[in-house]
Amino acid sequence: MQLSDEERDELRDSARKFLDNEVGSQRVRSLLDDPEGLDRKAWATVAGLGWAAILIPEEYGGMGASWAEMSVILHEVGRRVAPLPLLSSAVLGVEALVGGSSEALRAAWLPDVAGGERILTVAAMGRTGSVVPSELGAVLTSSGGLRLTGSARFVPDAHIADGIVVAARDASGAVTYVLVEPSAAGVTIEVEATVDQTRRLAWVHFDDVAIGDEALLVEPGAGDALHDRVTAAGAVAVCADAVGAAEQMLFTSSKYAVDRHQFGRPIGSFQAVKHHCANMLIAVEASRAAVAFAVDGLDDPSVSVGEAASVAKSFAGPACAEACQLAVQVHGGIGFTWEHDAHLYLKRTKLDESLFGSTGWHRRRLGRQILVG
Amino acid sequence: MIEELEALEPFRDEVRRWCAEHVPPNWRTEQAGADHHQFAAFHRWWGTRLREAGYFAPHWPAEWGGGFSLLQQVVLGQEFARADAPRNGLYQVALYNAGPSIIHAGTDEQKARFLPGILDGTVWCQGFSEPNAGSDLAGLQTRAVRDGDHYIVTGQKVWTSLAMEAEYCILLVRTDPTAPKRKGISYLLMDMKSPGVETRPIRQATGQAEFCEMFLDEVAIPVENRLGAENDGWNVTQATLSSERGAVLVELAERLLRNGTLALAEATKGWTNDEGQVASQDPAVQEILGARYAESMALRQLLNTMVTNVIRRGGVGPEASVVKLFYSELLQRIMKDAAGIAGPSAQNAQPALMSAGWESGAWLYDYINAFGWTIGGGTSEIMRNIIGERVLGLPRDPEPKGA
Repeated sequence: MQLSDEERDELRDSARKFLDNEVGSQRVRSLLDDPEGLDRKAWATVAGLGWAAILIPEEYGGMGASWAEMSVILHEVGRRVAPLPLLSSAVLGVEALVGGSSEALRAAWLPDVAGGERILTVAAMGRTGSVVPSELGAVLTSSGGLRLTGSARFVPDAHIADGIVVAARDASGAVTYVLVEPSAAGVTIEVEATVDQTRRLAWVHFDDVAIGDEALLVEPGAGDALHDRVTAAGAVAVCADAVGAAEQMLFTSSKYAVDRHQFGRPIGSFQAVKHHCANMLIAVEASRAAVAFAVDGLDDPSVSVGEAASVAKSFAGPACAEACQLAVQVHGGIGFTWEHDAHLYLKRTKLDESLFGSTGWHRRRLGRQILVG
Repeated sequence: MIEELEALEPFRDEVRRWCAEHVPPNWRTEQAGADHHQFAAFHRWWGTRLREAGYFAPHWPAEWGGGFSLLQQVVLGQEFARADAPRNGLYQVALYNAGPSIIHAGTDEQKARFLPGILDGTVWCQGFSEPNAGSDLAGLQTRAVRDGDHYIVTGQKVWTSLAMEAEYCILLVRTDPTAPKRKGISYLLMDMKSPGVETRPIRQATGQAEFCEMFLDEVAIPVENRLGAENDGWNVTQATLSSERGAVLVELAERLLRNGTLALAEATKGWTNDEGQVASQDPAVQEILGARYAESMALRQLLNTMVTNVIRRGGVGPEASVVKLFYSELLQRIMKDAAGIAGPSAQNAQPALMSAGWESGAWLYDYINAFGWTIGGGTSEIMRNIIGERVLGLPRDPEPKGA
């Protein structure tokens, strides 16, 4: 089910209205130091609205909608730097189960994930944030049954997840996706203190965790394509989040440049400031375009998901963070205070920029791709 | 691209077939080193081919030989880029400035008098900028004094592309020196053979002389050649600067992707870095290529969004204010990167290839030529002012004292 342009506009408007009213700056700030770092109340509401179910097929109680709709929600959530488990559960977890080959796991998990009753996440990055399989920190061995060892880092919302899908490499470097429950013997979760306090990332350690066949999302070693898909989805999701955040900072900064007077006139009448704002708009519009290209790519089976993700990450990742940097600069002293929201947005986009592979790696990957032709 | 384009596949096939039959395969080598006369001759020949096919003025109304939908124009641009067809450079002013202005603001008599000529290949030039009126175009000083049924025009114009080839000129003149500067300008259509018109080529930084200075010494221009009302010339220029550009930019962006980003990737396979490694295998080079490719895709999508907004919502959004600027600066970045990767060998001077526009394959030359986009048609700084003021609602710069 893909929505029409008008229906998508309505989805955007209603999401914006809800988040503006219910997950404003005060609410976000009240959760910055909260151990869970999750707006449970808002989550219950938006799950009821179907935000967790967008990418879930209808047969599992989902909306069966497309990335075009998912990206609208991610954009709006980024606009309010909202602490909601969309990246972890609605994007990564759902993509992993839907793209995997375990019908039993889909049936067991997706209906609850669709309703927001259970939260999933995926451990898909290595210790440096790399998504290259050889860099994955979770290792699958098969001496006397499958066992999981090692550690995964930067796992979003692992501390509140009911299920953690782990991208593990085996001795040959091939990837397998397995689902572990946080309560399983040998699993420990350690929330990392991060500069961006609007989201939580965790180390997940595996001490010889037994993996039964029923926990496999793919046949052992057959997860490379799924890994490409899930990490591409993660990359596009953080870019959509970043565009929303940068758009909000563009709006805030332009307004401030009109209201704030120095030297007897609005600072926005000075070209140096005006051009900062113009550069923010260019960054936002071009990033929106790069993400739109990537979103089309995720919805179109004929397109390489790697290219889609790398276009977004190569451009929108750094451009949106740069726009938020300009936002702090345009606001001057007030923008450097804790009291002003600009730092929340800069930190959010700096994290978005760094997840699911560095800008440099994505660019090199694209470069190698066009060299091959 | 959007679904609406799928319905145009038969048209696309038709254009693609036409290009395969008519685009001269070796024009890049044959036109290398051509001077502006040879350039003009080649473009007159190419213009004739386009006219025979009905592709010459696709963006004009049907009654004036056009009538192609915006999406058909997009397809044409994509296919010309794909076929690496020569650009329609000689007729840019005639087709995209003079013609649309006459269609928009001209009397029936003016339309009947000038439009058929443009469609037959009359070359026009643009006499807008002056030595003291560049970014501040409205500050132009060329004077036109009414004398019976003529204006007597005296002044100096500059950056008049291909004035030496042009038969007509769209000319902005000051008819009321006492009015606020935008309110005292009139728009005239000038015969370049009029007595008192003198053109002198300006050699650009590239070494080419595509532009001219134009000196006007008591040139008599009939009042009937005035477009729009007296002193309303500024509004005439503003009304025709937007919508026709969409499809042209699609073509430019596609050409930049193919002949800029992808051609650079190909070229790096033949270059070596300082360690003797093939440049294309150097991760630093791959990273640059990937960055430019991502930007090329973002530009393509920006245009896609703009076209989609025109078609589905009947107007453009903020993306439209960004495309010219983004294109200009991406062009400059690609060429600068190319010259950087090529190293001193980019200094090896090649015969200029005017017909290639901004992607001649001589990277350092193309880099220098890219200033034509970051300065011409509104400098990148002016474009940022426009974004700040018209899109973001920031206050205008204060008028300098005495203005």
